[in-house]
Amino acid sequence: MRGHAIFLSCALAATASANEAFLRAEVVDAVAATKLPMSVADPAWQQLSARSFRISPQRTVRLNDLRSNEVLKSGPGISEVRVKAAATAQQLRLWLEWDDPAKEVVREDEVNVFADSIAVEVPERSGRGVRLPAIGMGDAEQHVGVSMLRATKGGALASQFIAAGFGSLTRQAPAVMTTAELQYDDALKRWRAVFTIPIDGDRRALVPVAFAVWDGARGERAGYKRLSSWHFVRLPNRPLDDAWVKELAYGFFPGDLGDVARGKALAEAVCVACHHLPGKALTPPGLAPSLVGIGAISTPRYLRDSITTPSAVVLPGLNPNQHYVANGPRDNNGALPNADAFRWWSPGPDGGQVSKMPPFAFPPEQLADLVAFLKSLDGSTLEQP
Amino acid sequence: MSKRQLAMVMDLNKCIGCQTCTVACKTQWTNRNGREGMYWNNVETKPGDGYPRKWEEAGGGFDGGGNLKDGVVPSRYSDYGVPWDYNGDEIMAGREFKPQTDPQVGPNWDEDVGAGDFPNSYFFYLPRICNHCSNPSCLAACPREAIFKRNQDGIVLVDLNRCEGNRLCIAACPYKKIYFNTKLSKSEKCIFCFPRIEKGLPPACADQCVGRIRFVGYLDDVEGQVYKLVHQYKVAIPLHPEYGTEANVYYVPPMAGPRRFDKAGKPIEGSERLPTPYLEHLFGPRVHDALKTLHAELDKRKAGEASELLDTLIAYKHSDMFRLDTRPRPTGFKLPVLK
Repeated sequence: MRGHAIFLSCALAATASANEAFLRAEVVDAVAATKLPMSVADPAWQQLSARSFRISPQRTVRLNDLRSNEVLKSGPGISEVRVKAAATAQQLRLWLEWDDPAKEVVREDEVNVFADSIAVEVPERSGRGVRLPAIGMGDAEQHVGVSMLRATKGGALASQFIAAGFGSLTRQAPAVMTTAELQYDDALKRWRAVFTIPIDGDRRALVPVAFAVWDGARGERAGYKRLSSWHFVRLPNRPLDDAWVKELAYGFFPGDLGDVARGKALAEAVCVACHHLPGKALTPPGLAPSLVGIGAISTPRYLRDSITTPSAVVLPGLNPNQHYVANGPRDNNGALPNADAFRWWSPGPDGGQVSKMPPFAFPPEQLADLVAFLKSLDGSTLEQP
Repeated sequence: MSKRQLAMVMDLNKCIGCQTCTVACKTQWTNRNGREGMYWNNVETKPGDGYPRKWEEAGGGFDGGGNLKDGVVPSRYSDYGVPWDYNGDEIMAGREFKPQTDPQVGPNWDEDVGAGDFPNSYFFYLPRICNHCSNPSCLAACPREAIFKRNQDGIVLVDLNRCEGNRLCIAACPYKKIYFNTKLSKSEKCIFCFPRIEKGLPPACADQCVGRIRFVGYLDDVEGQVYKLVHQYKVAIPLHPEYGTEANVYYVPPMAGPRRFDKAGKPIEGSERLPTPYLEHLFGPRVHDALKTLHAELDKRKAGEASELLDTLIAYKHSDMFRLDTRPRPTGFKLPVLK
């Protein structure tokens, strides 16, 4: 009896410390305010401390711009975004800052230049027991709202989207976020942006957010971007749901993440059959999501679940017309059929989609090694086949 | 990918490079709203850099294995050209007639330059529109899946409500026939005049063609000229078939060019000034059989025999060049009587 109580208290202590480690690493505290600082330049922001999050180039799918692909090989570029937050009972306002040596705005005179941009992504719903959406535009079950600012000469073009996976991004009336502002600091060569997210009555203490930054000077737009993993903003004066935090804190408990070197050996023996790993690209690009930068944009939990239950989140893959069967049967207009090998899913028994990746039932230690290795893949290797 | 496919055949032997098609298209679709610098239809001189400049070297299309290839987005300043005007008002004051800016490149920059050394220089005209491909690489490249191919006629269109102006379609099109509207921040392209097609009318470029070079019809209409030229006689072949997009604009290759001159300035009998390897570079190896068929039919006709192929290419009646549906239609056209 006594022994059991000791075990229980130890487990509670472990949970508490893992939860705290998670909160320290992944969460921005929103400062309680009665009146929110309105503009980017409001001096009130200077009194808040910023939290820095890593952003790294999107490498999961490969797009087809020759020049942008060359630039991608030349270095990672902008690598962090600094975040501050303030909230009233009704509104959460995010202040974002990132370095960018060259200001690029939307231009009406030239065709092959691109504007610096930023987007904030939030899940449509979140909370205990609700899986976070796939970071890249969400997925069929967990939708995301995206608010984007694209730099113009006099300010910014603001757009609102909803998405349910690659290719599904669709404009919608502002609902997820309202006011937004973008400003370039010419002296410090930095962009600063402000986004406002309305807080509904039952919004929990933690708001999941993810960030994407486009560097126009590097030809970035669409999937040429740098993005973060899911992070969280903690709203003031709301109780934390410890059970939800425990779910989110997977990866912070001892034993969640195993040995990177052992995980690497395992991944290079198994995962490379379909996926690309740094320095290991045995399959044609596009056959499966590339894992070269997967750790920087994924939570450990997403990595684990993708191995054990791949069909829980089916990524549709990029536009299915990017590959056709060159010697396949032509239709009556000479069109060749799309190559199903490059589609990441198969039709399921109930008409739904099943991931082509089979579930892997690794022993717990091997799973932990693999997750540790995948989490270490930060996209810093630049070769891209 | 679509149930039926509309196609166009252009007989390059009849193109005189008058640009009436270009103007017809421009006045119909691209003289406003940020499209001023676009030429959905252009006529370029071959050999030559074309429009946009050196488009044949800009990548895109599919590789031999059926995989989308990387390409570049051209520049307005160095590849498309910035529209310019002339100082028309000033010449009355005795000033030199000149452009108001210093243009570096334009849609018809190297017109009639061609290749070869005098007196054996050569060129021909190549009118180009969107190929409304059976495997369109623009459609394949779009991360927003904003480009679609109409089921009823295979016309490739951009859904401007979905287009976010990412320009990956422009990088992907090996013919560089999809353009960026910087004013609207959307990609736009030749629409095969679908509002006209829906009324049974041919595209404006074909309707206005002075040389009657353009046939328009469905590829599966076995009674149609398009079918006969493409599938029966196989004298109409797509431009750069190696781009792998299964283009649906077909060209009858130039076959009756001038002969070469010898050193004394006399024409060399049986010689061709247009190098066949260049035609093969443009139209692929099938150009040889096409030229053979064309020459054989021409010889037949010279010998006084009938040739359905040459009659088709001559196109005695302009209206016979367009078969937009197979329903019975009026044979004559009467001008309304003005009272």
